[in-house]
Amino acid sequence: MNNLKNAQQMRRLLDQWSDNWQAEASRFAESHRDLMPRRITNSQLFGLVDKVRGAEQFHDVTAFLENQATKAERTGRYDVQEFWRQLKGQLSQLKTELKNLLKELPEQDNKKDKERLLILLAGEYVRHLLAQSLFFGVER
Amino acid sequence: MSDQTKQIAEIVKRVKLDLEISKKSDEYAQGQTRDIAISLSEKECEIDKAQVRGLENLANTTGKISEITDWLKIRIGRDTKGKKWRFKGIGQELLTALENLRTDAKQIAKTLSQYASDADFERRVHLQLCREFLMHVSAYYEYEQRNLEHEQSKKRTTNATAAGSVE
Repeated sequence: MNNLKNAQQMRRLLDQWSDNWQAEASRFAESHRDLMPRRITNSQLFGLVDKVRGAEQFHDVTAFLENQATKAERTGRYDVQEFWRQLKGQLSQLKTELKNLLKELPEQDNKKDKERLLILLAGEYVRHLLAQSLFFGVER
Repeated sequence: MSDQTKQIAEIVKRVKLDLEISKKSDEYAQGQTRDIAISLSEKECEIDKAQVRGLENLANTTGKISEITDWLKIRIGRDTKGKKWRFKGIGQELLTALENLRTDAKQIAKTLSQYASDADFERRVHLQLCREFLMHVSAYYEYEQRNLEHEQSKKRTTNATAAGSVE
């Protein structure tokens, strides 16, 4: 019963967090509006969404972002490289966000669960980013 | 406060909230929802029933307003021909309408401030209002679709009768 209650509480916290962070993800997209959706294509962002969905560890996501940044650097697209670096920074902030969320819940010791939650937060963030990028295409 | 008093307070809060939401829902049933549904039903608009029902189902099952707005933004962005969610700016209009419901949610939260126990209350009211709004859009859309189908079948029958009498 307690587990069910905790799961419900966690879901509600995640929902609330996601709605609050939509604005933050949109702000990030807005600050790179010149790059989206041409230099940072929607396919790249869809690729990122898929990567996050399939990730087993948060490190898989950051490694993917680092790889994207390196590829951009190799081809001399430094603005694109900066985008991926900054996005990595944004997603790394989510660790602090997770800590704050966990404060509102009973003690969570399971490392795997924490990792899973972190990936869930990243998934929400990149979905907001993708939606905003697609929307920019229309506004143009 | 005893457990019983707490329970009673919770019931009163729920009843009052339902009442406030119902009032707003009735207001939505008479205005913009119908105009949006009529635009969605136009012949040139290629949005099908599944998409409208899909949006309504999403709203009823998610706990996030952002999931609904992301869904819309993604569909608007993918509509390169402008015949679906970009048709006559329906998607954008819907996005703005859902965002504007925040004002109503604030008002309800203020009215029920003595019962609102947590910081997430206003957001949950907003989500509930979005569900009500989309329910009306979907219902009007189904109604308009049925009317269209009825008119088309009537036309076909008239044409067939006319062709038969010429023969």
